Amino acid sequence: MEFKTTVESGCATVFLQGRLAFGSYPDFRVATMAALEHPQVDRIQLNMAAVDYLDSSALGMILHFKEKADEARKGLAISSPGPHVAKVLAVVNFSRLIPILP
Amino acid sequence: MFDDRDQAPLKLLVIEDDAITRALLRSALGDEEFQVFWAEDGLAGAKLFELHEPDLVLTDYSMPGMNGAELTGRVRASLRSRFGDDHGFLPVVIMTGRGEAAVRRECMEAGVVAFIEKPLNVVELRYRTRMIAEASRAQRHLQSRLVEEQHEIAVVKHVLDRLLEQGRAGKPPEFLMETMTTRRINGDACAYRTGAPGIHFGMICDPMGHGLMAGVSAMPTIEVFNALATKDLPLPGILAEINRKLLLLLPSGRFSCSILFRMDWHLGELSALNAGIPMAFLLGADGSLVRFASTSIPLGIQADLGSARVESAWMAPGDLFFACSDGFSELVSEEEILDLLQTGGAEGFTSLAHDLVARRVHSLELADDVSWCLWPFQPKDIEPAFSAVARHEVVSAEQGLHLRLTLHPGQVNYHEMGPNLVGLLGRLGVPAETCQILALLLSEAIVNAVEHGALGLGSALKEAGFEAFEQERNHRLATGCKGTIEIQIMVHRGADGDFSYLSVLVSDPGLGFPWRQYLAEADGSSATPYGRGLLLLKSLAQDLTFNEKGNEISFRLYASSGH
Repeated sequence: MEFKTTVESGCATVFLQGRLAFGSYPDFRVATMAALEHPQVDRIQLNMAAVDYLDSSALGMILHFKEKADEARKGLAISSPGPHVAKVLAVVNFSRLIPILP
Repeated sequence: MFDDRDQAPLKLLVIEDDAITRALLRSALGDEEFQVFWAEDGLAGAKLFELHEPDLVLTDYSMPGMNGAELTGRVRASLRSRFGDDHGFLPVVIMTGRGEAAVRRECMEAGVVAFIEKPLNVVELRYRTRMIAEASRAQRHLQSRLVEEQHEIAVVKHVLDRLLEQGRAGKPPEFLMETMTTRRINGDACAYRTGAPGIHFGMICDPMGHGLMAGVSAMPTIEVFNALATKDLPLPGILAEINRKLLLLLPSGRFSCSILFRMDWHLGELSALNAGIPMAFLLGADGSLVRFASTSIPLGIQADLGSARVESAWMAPGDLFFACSDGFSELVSEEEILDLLQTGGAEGFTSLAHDLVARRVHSLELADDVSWCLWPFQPKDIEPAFSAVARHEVVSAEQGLHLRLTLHPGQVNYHEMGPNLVGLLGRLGVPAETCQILALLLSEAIVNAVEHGALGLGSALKEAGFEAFEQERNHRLATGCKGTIEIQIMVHRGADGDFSYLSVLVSDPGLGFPWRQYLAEADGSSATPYGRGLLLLKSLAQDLTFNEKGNEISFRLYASSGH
């Protein structure tokens, strides 16, 4: 799993790449917490265009991060999921919990 | 083929001590057809030979200091020092009026190719000089071309060796692979590549024809093999890519025979895809024999490989896989190879095979490259994730995996086990889309079986937070919690042999869980930190069932399910 983050106009976009699963948690935590603690960031996007696999433990990681974002009063959205990832997100009705942008 | 040197005047070295005869020779040879270097004795002639490398030496026999035969000896020594013993044609013609047999014999033993009688007939002299000089020039050009070709072949061999060495770094020492090349090289190659740990790929390629062309044809084949086998891709995909590359690169009418094979130490399976290689078989330790016949046309001919299909066989320790190119099978029959294997085993095969080949070619040069691979099945040092794979099953009209995994705390990355097992299934013809869904669902079922079944972690623990759950999981793994998880994946096929559906069963030693209640509640409507794995299974799997206790889950994935 690889991560890259950009900040523009108060929005931090974390670009995720590869397989997002339980083993990705340490890297995921570092990347997302850095975005969360950035003083000029008020919303965060997890860009999943390059994620080719995610499982329920990855969904748990994202929900855990959602809690942290809510506590910090910062917005969180998922963007650009590929077909397989979009299917998994749809199955678990993730759009009810986190906005999913095309 | 001719080059500029063929248009140049023929170079002659004429050695004659008699001034009158030299004048006669000048009148006969002194025009644009010949470039003549003149010497008046043997010593001067020998020096001029070194300087000008003439096409022909025309010399008198009787001269002061060094006669014609002695001069011929000097010329031969000069050629030998430059080209070795195999220097070929010796361009010396003796002009003599002495017909004694002893003189002629002395000259012939020195290497003289012809005699011209004195007194000289000018017309005959010109004619014979031209004919012999042209033959000499052609021979020297050929000699020079052969030297160039040997250099070119040495470069091709070097490149082939480098390509093959790239892949052979991880080759188990007991895997024997050999190519005995002809002097001209015929492009045969035995390649090895490690796929995933415990997965071994091999290839014999035998390009059409001989020489540089065949050697060059082998290069793209080996390159594609090296690149794709290391990714553990299915054999048909590797074969198709080699075929595509050869179609793209080779001139029309060129092709290459190849066999790709894959030995899986985890499952004890040997699979092979044969495109024109004459002999490949698995010799069982019990004497059984499974042949892998060619099912594909050779590569580089057309895009459609027709009925190419992978043939597989299960192995037991001590079984031997053998394959060889036609250079070997034309010298040694299958019956003889089996006899060698039964006599010497894998350890003694190489020396026995060498002896037999040497007897067959009777010290003559090989007519074709001889390539063979002999891989004994002796699995060892398997990755822990698959160390407990105990058995497989083959059921009528279905193939699959039946694995029994024992968890070793801290060693097994069970989160990756689902996708890894699906990787093993890829070659069984399960569609990629189905494999993608299976990887996810299998992972969910295995993680559930390990964490809730074997480690006894309750879902409520997730309420305490992600880190708390991870901490407790790591603690239980480190303190020796372990258990047996059984996984069965079967590939079911229709009457036509095409993939029909997958059936999956995962069981664990845990106490189970109230699955009816959890299943009913799993709808993704809440942000609870658990239940989403079950929801994925409920939504994406077909025929999902649990046993009463809840520690065994089974489901199916159909080909036509629209996933």
